[in-house]
Amino acid sequence: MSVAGDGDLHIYVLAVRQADTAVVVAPGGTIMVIDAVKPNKLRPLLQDLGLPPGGHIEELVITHPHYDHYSAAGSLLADYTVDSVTLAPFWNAHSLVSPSYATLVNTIEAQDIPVRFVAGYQRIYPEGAVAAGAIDPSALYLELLGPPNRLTSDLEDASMLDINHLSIISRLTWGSFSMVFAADAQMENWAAYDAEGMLNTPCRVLKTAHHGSGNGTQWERLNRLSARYVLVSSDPTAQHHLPDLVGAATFAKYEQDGPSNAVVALTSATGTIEIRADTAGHYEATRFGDLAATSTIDLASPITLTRSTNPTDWQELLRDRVDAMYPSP
Amino acid sequence: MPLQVPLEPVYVYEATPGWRTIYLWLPPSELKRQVEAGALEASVLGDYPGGLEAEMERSKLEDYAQLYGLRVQHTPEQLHRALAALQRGERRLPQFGYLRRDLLEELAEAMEHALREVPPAGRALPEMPRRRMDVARYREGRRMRAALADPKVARLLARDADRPLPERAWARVRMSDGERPAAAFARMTARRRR
Repeated sequence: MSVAGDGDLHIYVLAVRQADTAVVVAPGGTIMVIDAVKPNKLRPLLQDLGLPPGGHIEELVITHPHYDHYSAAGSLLADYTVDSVTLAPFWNAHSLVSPSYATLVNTIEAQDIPVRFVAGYQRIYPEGAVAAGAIDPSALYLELLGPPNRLTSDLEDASMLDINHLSIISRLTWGSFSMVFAADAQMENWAAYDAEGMLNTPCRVLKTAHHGSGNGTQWERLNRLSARYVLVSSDPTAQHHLPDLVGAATFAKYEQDGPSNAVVALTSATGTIEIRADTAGHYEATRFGDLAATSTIDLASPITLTRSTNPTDWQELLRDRVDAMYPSP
Repeated sequence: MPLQVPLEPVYVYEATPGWRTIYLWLPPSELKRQVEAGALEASVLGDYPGGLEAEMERSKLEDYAQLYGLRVQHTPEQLHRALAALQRGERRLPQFGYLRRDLLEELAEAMEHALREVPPAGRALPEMPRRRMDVARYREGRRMRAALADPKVARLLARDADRPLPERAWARVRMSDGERPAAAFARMTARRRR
C-alpha cells in the first residue's frame, strides 16, 4: 500500500503547461503515476497525499518518449520505490531515443524494476482482482492500449512515424466510473482502436489527446466518448499553440452540443484538477489555483469545477486562433 | 549494457513536417559543474538527477530560469532558424538527431548577424493566399533566403555537406559506451518474458 486510502478514487491532472502528469490514488491507497513532469510540483503533491520519500509507487506509466511526458521520471525513480514501469516501444529504425530517455531506461534497468513495453493491449489490477476467493467484478483496473506493431511499421514504411504515434492510451475503470488518458495519441492511433471497437464505450472523464491538437482531437471521437469532464492539459501561449484552431473549435462545439452538463477545462486556466469518484458511482471535479507551472498545489483550497465555475473560455481561444490565421476584414 | 548517452552538452532535435523541437541536453556532470560555479540552483540536481533536457521554448525556459536560474545564450527563435537552415537542400537531416552545441550556436550567430543586414520584406506581396500565417511564412522565407546567401552562413552550412549526418562534424559527439536502442529493447523484452 502506498498511502492510507479513504475508499474513494482520486485522480489529479496537474497543471504543468503544455505537458502531462496524472496521479491516481486508488481506493485502497495504491498510487499510480501516468506521465511525470515538473518535479517541483509533483513531489510536494505526493508528500501532501501522504507519500513520503521512499514510499511505494505501484505503477509508473510513461506514455511515450517525449520529454514533456517524462522529465520528472528520473526524480521519481530516485526518491520513491517504483514497483513497475510501463513504457512505449522504442525499437523502430529511427532509434527515437533522446539522451534523457536513454538515461531513464538505464536507471530502470540499473534498479532492476520490472518494465513492460505495451504494443497492443494489457490490463493491470493495481489493488488485485480477487476478493473472497473469487474474481471481483468491481475491482479497479487500468487498461493500456499501446500502438500495435503493424501501425508503427506501416507509418515507418510511409515515413510518417513520429514519437507521438508511440503513445499508450490508458483507461481507468472502477465500477461504473471510467476515465481515458489519451496521451499524445494521433488520428492514426485512434483509428487502430476504432477498427477493433476498443474505444467505443463512453467514459465519464477524458484527458484529451496531444494537448488539444486537431490531429489528436476529432469531434466524432469526442462525441462518442461523451465524457462529462473533458480535460485539456496545455498552455495555449506556448510554442506549439495547442489547442490549435481545430482543437479549440471542437472543444467549443462540445461545450455547446455535447452533454448538457459537460465541462471542458483547460489546465492553464483551471490549475490542477482533481476527479473524485466513490463506490456508489458518484463523481465530481475540483480545481486548484496553481496556474503557474512553478507553483505548488494547495489541496486545502479546492473549488468545485462546474460549467459556471470553469474559467476556460473556448469562444475567446477560438477567436484568438482564427485571428492568428486570418486577417481582420 | 546501458544505452549510449552523450557525455557533453548537445542539442537534440526532432523535426517532422510542420513541427520542430530542439532541446539542450545537459548531462549530470554539466549540471554539477554549473551548480558548483554558482550558475544553477542546487535543487536542479535533485529534480533532474539523470541530466536535464531543456526544450528551447520560451515558456519552458522561463520556468527553468525561475526555478533553477538556467540562462541560455541564444533565443529559441535563433536556434530554430539555424536548424531550419540545416534542414534545407538535398541532404536533409534525419527526423531525429544530435547536433554539436558549438556548431549550431555558431550557425545561429552567423544567421542572426546576416539577418540584421536583410531589409524588411515590406508590404508588396505577390498574389498569394491571404491567410495571415501564410503571409508571415512568406516574409520569413524571403528573409531566410537572403540570410542563407551570406558567405559565412553558406560556408558553415557547406561543412561536410556531402556526407550523411552521422559522419559530419555536426554530429560528432562524445558518447558513453553502450548499446543501440533496438538491442536494449530486445534484451529487456526477453527478460520480461522469462
